[in-house]
Amino acid sequence: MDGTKQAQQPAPRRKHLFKASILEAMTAYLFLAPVIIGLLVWTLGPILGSLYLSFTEWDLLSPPKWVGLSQYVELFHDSVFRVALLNTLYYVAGVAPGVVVVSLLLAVVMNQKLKGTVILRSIYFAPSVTSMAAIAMLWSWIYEPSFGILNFLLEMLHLPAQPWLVDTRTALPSIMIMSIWRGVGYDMVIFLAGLQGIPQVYYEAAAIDGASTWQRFRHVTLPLLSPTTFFVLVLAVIGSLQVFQQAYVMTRGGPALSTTTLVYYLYRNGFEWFKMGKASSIAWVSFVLIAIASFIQFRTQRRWVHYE
Amino acid sequence: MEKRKLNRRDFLRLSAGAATGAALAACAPAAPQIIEVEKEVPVKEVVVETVVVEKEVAVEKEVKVPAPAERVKLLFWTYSVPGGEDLNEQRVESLHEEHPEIEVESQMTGWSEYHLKLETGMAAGVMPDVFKLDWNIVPRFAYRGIPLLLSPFMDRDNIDLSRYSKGAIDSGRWDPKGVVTGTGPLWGWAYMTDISLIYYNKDMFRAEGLSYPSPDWTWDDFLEAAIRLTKDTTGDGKIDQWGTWVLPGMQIDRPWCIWGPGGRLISEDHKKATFNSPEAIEGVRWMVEMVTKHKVSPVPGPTEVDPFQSGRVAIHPAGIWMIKAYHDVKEFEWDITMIPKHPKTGIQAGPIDSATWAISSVSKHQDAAWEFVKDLCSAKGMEILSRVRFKVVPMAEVNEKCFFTFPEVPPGGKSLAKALEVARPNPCWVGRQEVWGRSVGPEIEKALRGEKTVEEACEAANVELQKSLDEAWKLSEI
Repeated sequence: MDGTKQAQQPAPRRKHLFKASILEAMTAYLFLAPVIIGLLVWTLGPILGSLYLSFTEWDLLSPPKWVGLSQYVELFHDSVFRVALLNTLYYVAGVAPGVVVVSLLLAVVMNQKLKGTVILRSIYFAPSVTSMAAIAMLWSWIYEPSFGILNFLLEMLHLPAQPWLVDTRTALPSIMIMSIWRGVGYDMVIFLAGLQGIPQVYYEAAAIDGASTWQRFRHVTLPLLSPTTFFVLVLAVIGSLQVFQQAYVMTRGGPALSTTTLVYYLYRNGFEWFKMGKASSIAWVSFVLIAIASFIQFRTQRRWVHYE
Repeated sequence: MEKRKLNRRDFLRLSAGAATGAALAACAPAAPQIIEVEKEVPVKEVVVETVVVEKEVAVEKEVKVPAPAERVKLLFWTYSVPGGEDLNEQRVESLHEEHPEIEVESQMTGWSEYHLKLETGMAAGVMPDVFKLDWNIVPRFAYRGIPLLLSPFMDRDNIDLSRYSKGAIDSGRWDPKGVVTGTGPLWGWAYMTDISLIYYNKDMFRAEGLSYPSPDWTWDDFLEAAIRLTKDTTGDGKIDQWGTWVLPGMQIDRPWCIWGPGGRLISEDHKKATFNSPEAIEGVRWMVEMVTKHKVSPVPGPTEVDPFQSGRVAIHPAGIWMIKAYHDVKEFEWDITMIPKHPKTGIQAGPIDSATWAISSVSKHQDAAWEFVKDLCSAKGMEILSRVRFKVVPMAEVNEKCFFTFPEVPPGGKSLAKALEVARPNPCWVGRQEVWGRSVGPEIEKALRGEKTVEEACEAANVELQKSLDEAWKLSEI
């Protein structure tokens, strides 16, 4: 194409479309087009569709029946929904901080130049790339009250055996422990990157000033790591608000609804009882929760996140 | 030259427009199709006029002549089970004996995805011609017009339903105005029944010097044996042999524990939930106290481990489908017998939950589909099922020939003939599955863990059951 040449001719008769920079832009957008169209058709479109459905009653077969806001009103009157909401909030309150704290500590330890840290890092990271369904099945066996390995170990240490997934009081905490164990590796790697981004001069200066290890951690590491911590925390909250697989594979939401989470309840309504409208409304409540949580976190970051 | 700064916006507008256009095109209704319908035309021809062309021909026919047998292909959906391909092959061969022109393409789906596939198939317009319709799905599907009404076909072909177990056939009956299954026109033809029974570990009974369970056993005998058989065999202070293993799904959802004392899930007119009646509470209490009071059963947990199969439970209330699974158990001897009878009422009825065959209402080959269903539900068809899958079928004569003679079925299997006779259909309505999963099941789980008394649990469950029933009745008025 000799668009450039033609553009330099006096009184050009060609249209602007043939200008080089515009051609470049067009090419770029052409490459982006499939993704954008896919996003609009298969992501944004269904999202808007789900918003519409959340105000209807729809069983997949008959046309959706508009019920408006009463769907949401009934949802909040639904005792099982309230249980699912509380279970999910409890789960987030335990798992999100838990993952952040444990992975941070792990990263600090793994950041030392000790033997075997490289292998250990891989070992800790492995669960986060393993299929959750496989992990859930494995932990169902670990948690088995009669012959699971965990109770076996507890008894060896003369500690009382726990009912784990069988009792309503311990089922959700058991799932939370497993989730923390699984998520720690991934966040550890992120924290490691953050830790390695802290310039050594600060530590040297602190050492010269006579700071102890703990003081160095508290006053150098933590503040300089705060952007990473913020990032990990936000993701942890968003992720744990959407907990599903553990409830589905390990306990089917039981016993007695104690591990029924928002997304699991959504699943049951949509795909077991064919109440697509109600399932959509649960999805949007979940979305609003995530949005609120993220908004709060972003607003409060000024107080504790120090960007350089 | 002017720079086109609106480039990006224009492009985004263009792509949004393209996407909307694509979406509209996709949502456009399909062009109306011309559906060819095959109709059977009874023909009675008597040619009286001799037409002399080259030969004299006299033709007299007085037989229902079907339209020329065109090749028809049926889509057949069912669960995927061990031996399923072999089973379906034999079924199709049996069909071809009389109808070689009907081809069958069978597709099997895992149990947990099957109903989802059916519903989404219906929504997408891809429905099988013949499919398996379980007893607890009949109202939900019939309400939405998914299966074809079978009663007209039955009448037309003079099917004699007296050869079939009435309870089983009634599982496929549903009257939209009556709300609950058991009466009304037929939507699915029962071909396989699940009976509740108890499995027991003979070694454990022998070791304790107890006589084996028999069909005359009462609830008290059951409990007594369970108490005697619960023990700590290794002396470490933990119980490792349990008398029984309580399963609410097997004892309350399949409500023999409710029926025994004379209780019912819902009233006879189907309008009132009666889960909180004294009789129902008595039944639930008997089951719950095995865990909470007598401690002869572990608390039922979420894991898939079957403690009977691993030799840790003496008496196991379950369904007939486990016979094939336990057949491979070599570590101990086991047998089966009927569920125990109630000591006062003598009721020994369990549910006769049946699987049925249904034809989809949008099938383009309804007559061919009917021929296939007829074959599947004939004595011949049921025999095939019984032999390949160790199943009890709703036809006593086939069971005599097959199930009760199989060497894999232990000696106690003979008692199941009586179980079949006394079994009742399990009432089902639109929304029953949901209320069980949301409310009734969790309430019983709470009672099993001592978090609620049995009365509280049954009351709370009854409230939800009543709501579910009321909703179903409201739907019937639409």
